Amino acid sequence: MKLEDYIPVVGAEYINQLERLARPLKGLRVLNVNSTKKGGGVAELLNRTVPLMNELGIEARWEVIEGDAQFFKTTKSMHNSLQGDKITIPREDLDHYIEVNVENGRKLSFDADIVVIHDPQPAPLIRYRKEGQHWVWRCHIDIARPWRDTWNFLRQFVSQYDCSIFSMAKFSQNLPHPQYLITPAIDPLSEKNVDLPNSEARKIVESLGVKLDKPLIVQISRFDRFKDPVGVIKAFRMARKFNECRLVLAGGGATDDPEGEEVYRQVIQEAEGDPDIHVLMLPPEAHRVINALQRCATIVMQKSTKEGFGLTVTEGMWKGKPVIGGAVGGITVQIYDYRTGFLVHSIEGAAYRIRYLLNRPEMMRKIGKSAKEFVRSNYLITRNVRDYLLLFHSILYGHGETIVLEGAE
Amino acid sequence: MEERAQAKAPFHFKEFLIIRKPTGVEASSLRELLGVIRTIDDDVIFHHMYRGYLRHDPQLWDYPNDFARWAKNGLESQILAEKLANVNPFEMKNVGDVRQSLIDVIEDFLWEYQYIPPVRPGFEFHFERSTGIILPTDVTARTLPQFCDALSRCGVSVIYYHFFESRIRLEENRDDFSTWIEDNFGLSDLASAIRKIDFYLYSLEDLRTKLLRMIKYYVKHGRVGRHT
Repeated sequence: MKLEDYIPVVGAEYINQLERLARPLKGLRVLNVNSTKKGGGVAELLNRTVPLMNELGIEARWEVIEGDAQFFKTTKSMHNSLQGDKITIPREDLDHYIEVNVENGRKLSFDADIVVIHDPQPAPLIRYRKEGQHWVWRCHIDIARPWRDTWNFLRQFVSQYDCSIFSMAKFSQNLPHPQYLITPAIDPLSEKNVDLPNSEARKIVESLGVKLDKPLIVQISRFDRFKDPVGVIKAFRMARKFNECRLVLAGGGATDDPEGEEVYRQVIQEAEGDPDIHVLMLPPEAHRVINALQRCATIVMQKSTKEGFGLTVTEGMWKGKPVIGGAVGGITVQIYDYRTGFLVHSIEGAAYRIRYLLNRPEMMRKIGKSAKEFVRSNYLITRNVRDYLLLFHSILYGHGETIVLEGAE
Repeated sequence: MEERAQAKAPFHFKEFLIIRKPTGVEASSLRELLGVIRTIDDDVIFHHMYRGYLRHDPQLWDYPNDFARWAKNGLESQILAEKLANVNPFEMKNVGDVRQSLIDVIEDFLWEYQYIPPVRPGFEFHFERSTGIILPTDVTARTLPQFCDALSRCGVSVIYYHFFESRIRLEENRDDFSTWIEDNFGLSDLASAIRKIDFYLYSLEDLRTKLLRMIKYYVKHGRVGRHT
C-alpha cells in the first residue's frame, strides 16, 4: 500500500503534511521490536506503519523476538497482572523471561538511531542500548492499575528507557523520563477495513453458517476473560427476550496468548445448544471474514472489562455501525453516548442498549455515520504515522516545549 | 475593495501540531483537582486551557477547555461545567491568572454546593502537557482571494496557530490574520471586525467558516457585513 492510496480517505493535504513532517527526518534509522508477527493489534499496526515510514524516507525496520511456551506463559501472566490481576509470577519464570530476552538480544541487530520496543515481552532488551541511541518503550496495554509486584519488576527495565509511550493518559506511570501519548489506529485500506461490496460481505458471513435473517449483534475479539464474552452472551439473551436477533462471537488467537483456548471452551459451553449464537474461532489471517462480519452487523459490541485501547471498537465505527462498549480503557475516548455509540457498565446495561438501538433504526444510522467521521479524524493509521514523526522530532530536539522546524522561523 | 490588491509581504501559512505528554498525575475528585491545579506546572494548565481546540472533534464540541469538559463528562455537573467554560484564558495576561481564575471558580462551587458529585469510575482527570511543533507549509497568499482560497483548504491547525497561539506569541492578544490584513491592505475596519469575533467559543472549523464569510463579504462589497 502506498501513501497516495490514502488520499481518497484522508485527503491530499494530510499526506502532504506527512511528507513535510518527514522531510527533515530523511534517513533516520528506526527499529521496532515486538513479540508476534501475526495476531493482535500491535502486529497489525506495525505491518502497515513500517512500510509507510519507509516511503516517507525513514529507514524503518521491524524485528520479532522468539520465545518458548514458558516465556509466553510468563508474559501472558505479566500482561494480565499489569492489567490488574493479582498474579505472583514465580522467580524462575521471571529469570527465564530475562534469559530469553538476552538470547534474542545476541541475535538481533540494534543498529538504529531510535529503537522502539513494544510492550513488556521484549522490555529487558534495553541492556543492548548503545551510546547515542534513543530507546522508546511503547506500552499498548491498559496499565492504569497494575499489580505492584509485576510493575515493580518491569519498571526496573522501563525506567532505563529514554522515554515511553502510552495509549491513554490514564495508563501513564511515575517514570523518570518523558512520557508521550499516542492513541492506536486502524488501517482503512487493510483487508480488515477496506470497503467490501454488500453482496460479498453477506456471502462470506453466510458461508460461516450465520444466517442473515435477523438483526446481527457481533463482538470480534480474542477469547480473553477481559473481553467478557460470557457477559455478552448473557446480555444478548436478555435482549432477545424482546427482539429477534442473532449473536456472533468471533475471535482470533495470537501466538503469544496461550490462555485463549481455555476461554474459548468456556464460551462454547455457555452457548451450547443455542441456534442464535455462533461462536467462531478464526485463524489470524481471517481479516476479510472479520471485515464482512462487522459490515453485516446491526450492532457491534465490545463489552470489555479491561481494555488497552479497543481497536475493534474503532473498526466497528469505521464501518458506520453503532458500537456498544464497556466503559473501560480507550473505549471511553471513542464512544460518546448518543453520538458515536453507547458506553455500558454492566450486562444489564449492554442488554438495555441492544434493545434501545434495535428499536431505533434511524438513530443507528445517524450514530454510525457520526462514528465513521470521528474515526476518520482521529484514529486512522495516517494519524499514527504523524504522531510517530512528531515523536521523532521531539526526541531529536530533546523533548522541548516548542519546536520550530526549518522554514517555519 | 480591489480584489487584485497585492500585499506588501505575502502571508506564509504555518501549521501547528502537538504531541501529548501525560504527566502521570490524576485527580479522582473535585478537591483533588483543585489541589493539583494549585501546584502543577504552567505548561500543564496551558495545555488543558488553550490547546483543547486542536484535540477535540468539532462534532463533539461543547466546551472549550478540558476542565469544563471533565466537569460535564466526569462529574456530570452541568453547573460547574458552565462556570469553568466561562474562564476564558485569552482574556488573561498569563497562565498564573488563568490558574487563579480556575481556583476561584472551583472554590466558589465547593463553598456554594453541599453535594459534590463523585467522579464517574473511569473518568478521572489526567493531567497532560504537550510539545508543539511549528511546521512550514508551501502555501502563501498575496491577495485576499488567494488568502481565502488557502484558508478554505488548509488543515485546522493552521487556524489554531495563526489565530490562537499567536495571541500568546505576540503577547498583544492579536491574531496573525487581522494583523496581516491591516498591515498590508490598510483595512482596519475588517481587521477590527475580525478581532471582535468571540472566538473562544468556536471550534476551529466554525472559525474557518466565520473568517471566510467575513473576508469574502468584504472583498465583494467593500465593507464589513452586519451579520457575517
